[in-house]
Amino acid sequence: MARVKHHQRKRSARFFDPRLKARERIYSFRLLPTRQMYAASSSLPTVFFISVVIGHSTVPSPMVTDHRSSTGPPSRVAFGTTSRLAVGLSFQVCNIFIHPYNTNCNNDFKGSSLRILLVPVFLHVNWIIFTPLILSHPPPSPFAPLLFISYPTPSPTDDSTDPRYRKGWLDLAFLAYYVIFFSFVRQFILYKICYPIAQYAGIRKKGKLARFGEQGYAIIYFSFFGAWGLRTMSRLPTWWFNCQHFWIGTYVVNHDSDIDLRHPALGRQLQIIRTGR
Amino acid sequence: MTSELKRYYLMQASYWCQQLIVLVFRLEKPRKDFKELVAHHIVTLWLIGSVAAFTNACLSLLTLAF
Repeated sequence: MARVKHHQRKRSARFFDPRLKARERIYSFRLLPTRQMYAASSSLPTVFFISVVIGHSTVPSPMVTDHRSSTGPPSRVAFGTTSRLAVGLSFQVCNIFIHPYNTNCNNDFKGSSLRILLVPVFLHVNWIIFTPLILSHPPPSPFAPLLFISYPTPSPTDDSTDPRYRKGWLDLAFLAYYVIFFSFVRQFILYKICYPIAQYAGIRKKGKLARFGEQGYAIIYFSFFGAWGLRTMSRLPTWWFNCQHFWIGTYVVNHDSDIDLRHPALGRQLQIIRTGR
Repeated sequence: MTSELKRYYLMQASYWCQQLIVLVFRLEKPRKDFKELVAHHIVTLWLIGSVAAFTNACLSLLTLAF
C-alpha cells in the first residue's frame, strides 16, 4: 500500500471536524488510518486461510492426528518452517494495527479506540487458530478474558446449556476492554449517525450539535440496553416481583469453600464440627 | 450468575465508567449540573459494584443459585 504524504491526506470532509477541540480528537477516527485498517482486515481472512492450509498440509496437526494411539505423551508436535512463516506473517498483519503510521501528524491518537479494540480480537483469533497447530493441549487464550466473561462454574441444575459464572479479578480486564469498546461506539454513533442527521436537519451551531449528539447517543444506547436489560431480567426466576426467589436456594451449596465465603462464622462452625478444633 | 446476567452487569459497569471518564476529562461540554452528574455516575458505579461485593453473600439473587 502506497504511503500517502500527510499534506495529501484527504480530510474526512465533515464540516464539524476543524471545530473539534484537541482533546476531543483523541477519540476521533479519520479516514486514512481507518482505510488502512479496512484494507488490512480485508486481507486478514485470506492470510489466515492460506496459513491454515499451509500449516495443515505440512504439519502433523493434533486436530487430525490421534495421539492416544501413539506411544508416549507427545506434548509438542513438529512445527514446520512454512507454518512458522505463516504465524509470522499473520503477526505482521496484526502489527499494522499498532504501527504508528500517523506519528508525524498533529494528532497522534487517530483511530486509536478502534485500533485498540481490534488488536485483542485478532490476537485471540490468531491464538485459537495457531496454538492447536503447535501444542496438542493448547492453553486457553490469554486474550479471551478481554472479550468474554470469565470464571465459569458448575451449574446447580447440572445442565450444560445453563452455565453459571462467579466473580474474579479478570472481570476488571473485561471491564477495561469494554470501556474502550463503549468509547468507540460513542464516537461512531456521534460521527457517523448523529452528526449527519444534524447536518441534514440544518443544525450548525457547535453547542447545539454537541447536545444533539449526546442526546442521540443516549437514545440509541438506552433503547438497546434497556431492552436487553428487560430481557435479562425477565429470564430470572424473580420476574415479575416473585420475591420468594430472593431467598430460595440461599444455602444450597455444593462446595465447602463457598460456605466459608458466604458466611465466615458458619464455615468456622462446620470446620470445628468436622475437625474438632 | 447466569452468563447473560454477568455480561450485562459488567457491560453496564464499563458503560458508566466510560461516561464518568467522558465527564471528568470534559469531553462533553460541562453543564451547570456537572457536580451532580459526576456524583450520579459515582453512585451508579457504586451500585453496580455492590453486586460484586454481594455476589458471595447471602442473597440468592446474586449467588450461584441463579
